Amino acid sequence: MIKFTIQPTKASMKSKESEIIELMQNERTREKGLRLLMDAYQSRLYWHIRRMIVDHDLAQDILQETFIKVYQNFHQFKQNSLLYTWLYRIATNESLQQLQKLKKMQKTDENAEYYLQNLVADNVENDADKIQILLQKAIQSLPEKQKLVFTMRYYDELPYEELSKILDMSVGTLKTNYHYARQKIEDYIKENYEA
Amino acid sequence: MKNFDIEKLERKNIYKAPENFFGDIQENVFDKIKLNPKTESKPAKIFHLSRNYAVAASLVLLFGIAAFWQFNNPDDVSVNTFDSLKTVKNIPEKQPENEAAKAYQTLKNDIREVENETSENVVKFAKAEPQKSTQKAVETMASKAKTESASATEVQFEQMMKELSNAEIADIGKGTEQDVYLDLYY
Repeated sequence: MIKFTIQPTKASMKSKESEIIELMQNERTREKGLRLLMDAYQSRLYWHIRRMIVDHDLAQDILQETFIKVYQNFHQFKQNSLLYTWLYRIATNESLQQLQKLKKMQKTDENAEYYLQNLVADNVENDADKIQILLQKAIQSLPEKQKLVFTMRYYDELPYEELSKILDMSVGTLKTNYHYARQKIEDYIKENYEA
Repeated sequence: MKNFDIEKLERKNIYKAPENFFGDIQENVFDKIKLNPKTESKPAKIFHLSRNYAVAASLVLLFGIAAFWQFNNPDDVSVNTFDSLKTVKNIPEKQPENEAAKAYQTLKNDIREVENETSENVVKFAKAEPQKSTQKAVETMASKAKTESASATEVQFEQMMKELSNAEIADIGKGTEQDVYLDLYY
């Protein structure tokens, strides 16, 4: 059986964004606009946050905070970039802040990485592939910047140009970071995988 | 695991999220928004003043302050140190605009009028009452009034005054006003 998945085209995404922006800019229709925005982006944003933070409860708090900030600060969205770029930026900043708090609690970066790797084991589905679990642990061993670039490129398949806007990095830097992240992950899996 | 390539690995999501999580989160967000209806803080407007306007504005401000200072301290000439302020100071001398300058101008005009009226009255008085005793003195005074020598005029004026009676002086004095400022200049 062949499964067909309907991917939203760029044109349909843009028209949806325009509709959301129009609704959000009007005081009377703002709530309706937010609901539409959440319907469209909550899943992508949640999984982006979750891959960074691992813990569901924390990811939930960050996602809620992201939408509240979007609602309260929508007048600051200048439409110089796509709406989802702006949303990713807010969600990423919130996630990084949470990671900083976590590092302070764990005293050192190494402790924080170790903590996150242990969290992976506690949060994955019971029937998850061993190699997939190793992949998630390897991601948590990466420095923040590489972790961000890798997850957004590997899972969300965001183009480097959009990543550049979200993370304020040049395309060259992003490619270098992705390359190093991929190499480290592969090395980690080779070292830790037991057939 | 020697030839492991991550790009060939299936992109699977191995984390789990609770059921109805995405439906609940929307309600949570709306609840929080209603609980904390933070008013929008609109960004303050920033005016970009061009350099020309900035220079013009500062000049207007400078002259405004100078003019204000001048009008509030009209007598304080010695304090002026800047040429621009001196220029502003000199303007009222040519065109009296403040109280002191106007008073000074009025005083000058009054003295001039008194001098003119005095000489005219003396001539009229001489024509109206050609008395022998005063005729000579009046004619002398009228002719001497036209001369430029101050000392001669004063002598003549004193002579005339001596020869005039009190009633005659009072008549002459009717056409003039007593100027209180005159005392200040003796």
